[in-house]
Amino acid sequence: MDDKEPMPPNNLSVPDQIFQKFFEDLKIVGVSPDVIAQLQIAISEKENPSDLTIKAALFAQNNSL
Amino acid sequence: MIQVRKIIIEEFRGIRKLEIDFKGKNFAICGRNGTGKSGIVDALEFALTGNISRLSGEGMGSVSLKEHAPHVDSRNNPDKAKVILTVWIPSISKEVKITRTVKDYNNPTISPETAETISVLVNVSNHPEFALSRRELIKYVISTPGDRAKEVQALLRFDKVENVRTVLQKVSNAAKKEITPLKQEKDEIQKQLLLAFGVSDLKQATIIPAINIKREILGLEPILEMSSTTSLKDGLTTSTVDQSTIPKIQAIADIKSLKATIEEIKATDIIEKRKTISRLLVELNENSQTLTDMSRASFLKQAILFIDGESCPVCETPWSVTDLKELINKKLSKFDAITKKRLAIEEGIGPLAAMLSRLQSEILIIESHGNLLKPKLETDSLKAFRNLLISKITQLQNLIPISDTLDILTNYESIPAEVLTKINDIENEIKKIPEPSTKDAAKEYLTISQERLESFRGVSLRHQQAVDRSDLASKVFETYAKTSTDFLNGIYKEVETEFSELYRFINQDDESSFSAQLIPSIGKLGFDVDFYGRGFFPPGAYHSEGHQDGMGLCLYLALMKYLAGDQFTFAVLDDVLMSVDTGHRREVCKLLKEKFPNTQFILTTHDEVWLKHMKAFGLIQSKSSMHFRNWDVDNGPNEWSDIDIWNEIESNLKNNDVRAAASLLRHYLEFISAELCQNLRARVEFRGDGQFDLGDLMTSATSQFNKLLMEAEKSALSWGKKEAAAEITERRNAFSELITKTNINQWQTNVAIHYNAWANLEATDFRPVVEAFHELINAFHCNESNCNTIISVLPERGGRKLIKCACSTVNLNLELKK
Repeated sequence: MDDKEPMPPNNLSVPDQIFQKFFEDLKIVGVSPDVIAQLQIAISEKENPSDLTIKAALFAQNNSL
Repeated sequence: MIQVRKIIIEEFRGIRKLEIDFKGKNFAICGRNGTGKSGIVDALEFALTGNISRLSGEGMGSVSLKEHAPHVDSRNNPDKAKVILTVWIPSISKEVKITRTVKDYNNPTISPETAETISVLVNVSNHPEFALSRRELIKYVISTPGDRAKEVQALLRFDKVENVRTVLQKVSNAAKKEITPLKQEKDEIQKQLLLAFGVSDLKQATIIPAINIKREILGLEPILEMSSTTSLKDGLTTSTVDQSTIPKIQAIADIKSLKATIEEIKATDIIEKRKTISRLLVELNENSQTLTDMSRASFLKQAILFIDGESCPVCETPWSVTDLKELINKKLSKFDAITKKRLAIEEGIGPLAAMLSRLQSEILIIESHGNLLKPKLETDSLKAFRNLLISKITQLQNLIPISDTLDILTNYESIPAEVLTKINDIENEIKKIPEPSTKDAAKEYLTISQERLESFRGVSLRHQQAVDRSDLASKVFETYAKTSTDFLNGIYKEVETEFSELYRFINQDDESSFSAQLIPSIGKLGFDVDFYGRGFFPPGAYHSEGHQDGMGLCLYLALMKYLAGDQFTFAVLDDVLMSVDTGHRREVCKLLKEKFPNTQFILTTHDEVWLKHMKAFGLIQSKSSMHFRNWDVDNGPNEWSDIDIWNEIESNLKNNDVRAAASLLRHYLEFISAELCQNLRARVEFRGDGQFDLGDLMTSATSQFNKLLMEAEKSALSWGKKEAAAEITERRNAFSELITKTNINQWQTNVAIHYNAWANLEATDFRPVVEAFHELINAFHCNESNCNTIISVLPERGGRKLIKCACSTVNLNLELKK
């Protein structure tokens, strides 16, 4: 068996790749950059974001809607 | 990932003390059920993860790792129960020793403890999928699409993708749900506003002229345009009317509106709606199981809302939030049908509750008018009825108990006589109030309209915000669903291709055109497989259990290959291929060996024949296996090991315990003679129950070996290899002498040498018997200490071509020169 273990081809995990594409797609469908930024924090920084975390991220700007 | 080199298990599960040297190579552990194989799998999992999934899975109730992982005799000493695992980490070329005790299972000692070693081990610990049991394997194959998606995504470490999807969907659903009550409130206030304006719609062209008529009376500038901040009272010197004075015109209009609502409640279409809903409720009410299910579903929905820490909100048992939510959602999914029925009823009941809510609001207005009358008119009956209406609305929304909801629907239009009398009394008293002057009426008009306009603006803003939140949440969820599904589609396509290739590899004989389809959709993963070109069906539809086991293994390997690529260096296959038929075992061994040359497989099996196949097909080397003969609670698993057996017998003889020595020799000979017959393709009288006598097996093995040596001798002579033939003759003569020494040829006739009589011998008389058998058994093996394997006939089926050991030191041709 080989002693050397090759590095994985992509440093981003599959979930992270999906999240990255998701944030790009949100821009395309017209979600505001502020909301996307909040979602990025909520999803990327938490292991398992809760309903409350996502709600807070999504609706932080709601008063100015 | 890692490779396992060595494990030392002490006082753990059914094991007292066991040391295994895996050497980083494939390794097989064989033994009948209950001989201790699973204890080793548990120990591997425990050392690497600090958990034993077998003890924490569904249905394990009060079984816990801390209490039940130690050997039963050490249950009060969890510090004695420990596993020491030596692993090799290829990526950093380091050997690491992990020592974990049950007492302190969350804090293993890792040596060397560096950032690099910790990082690799944490990664392994977080994802215990390296160990696969048949129970887990079959989950990938025959579970529902929803469960399969969860299992596969957990294996691929995509659980966060699924978790985020679930949360986004939940937030979207919740945001949508917020709109309805706000819309209802907005409609009620809009109705009151229209009443105040005295118009039928809220278009600027309708309301501005109506307002300006009143403003003109008061000599105020006309309003040209209504914006979100326009004040109808702009320019009025007194900003509000006297709050203690009843605005007579408005009050009369409010009473008229209330009476219209009371009539509306009795309208035919409302009666029809009530009948329809009542019918559905009666149906539900007649089935006690449905009612129980509804209550349970309702309870479970509430339970999810209360989960906010790392324990069950009811019994405080420690749980991870994700696992507990997943468990409750799984239970909730069983009530899908009843939930659909409930939704249909809730949809119908919504407008009925909204109408009661409107009635309640309108009575409140009349109640406030009544309170302003001089002398004040007592309005307790109105207040009491309003409270009753509020409780009715709550009951309609809760639905359960159904009998209560049915009562409300039956008496839906019922309004107590004293309430109707009170409304009439207030109306009569208001009518007695002198008519206001045109200017006062105009002032009242503007003031009340402004008040209701502000309420309307407030509720409109809240409603609009709810709509915007719902739109945003829905857009975000739909985008996520599409993005993740598209992405996963691509991944599953790769896995699907790899899976099909692996499965075809092990079924080349009959399913060489096999293909499969992994069909992802939101939160689900469909899995259909080709059945001999007749179409695609779920794996459990037509394929045999053996084929399903093969599919499970191939899907697991395809997923692990995708997940870890070249880093897939270790897997434990715990009795996963019990149903695979003999015909396909060679291919399974070949698959693991050829397609995963860098992966160390630890395989357990209860099937001795499987073990032989693994050895014969080169998946494991001759020394890389353990064969447990039995297990007992005092000593744990007991291994069949030639060296240990002879030492153990000798030890018994030294203690003059001939009975124990004889029993051990007999059991060992039963085991090894079956091995010899298997390897030499010896003929044994068939027994349907598989219970062969030692005499039958041993005589068949010796006679077959002798026959094979004769064939080899003839073959050597036919090829002109006289020297080789002479060596074989010598070997055969020596073998014959050994047979004579053991008196096996007299086995059936001479009772004195029969094993039943051994126990009656003295140690000195029995020792030669032991030595004779030891020498005889050795004669079936290769003499090379590194090999020491049983000399076997090849191939396993068909015409015999040669006899050889694993290292080929013994390699004798059986074919004659033609």
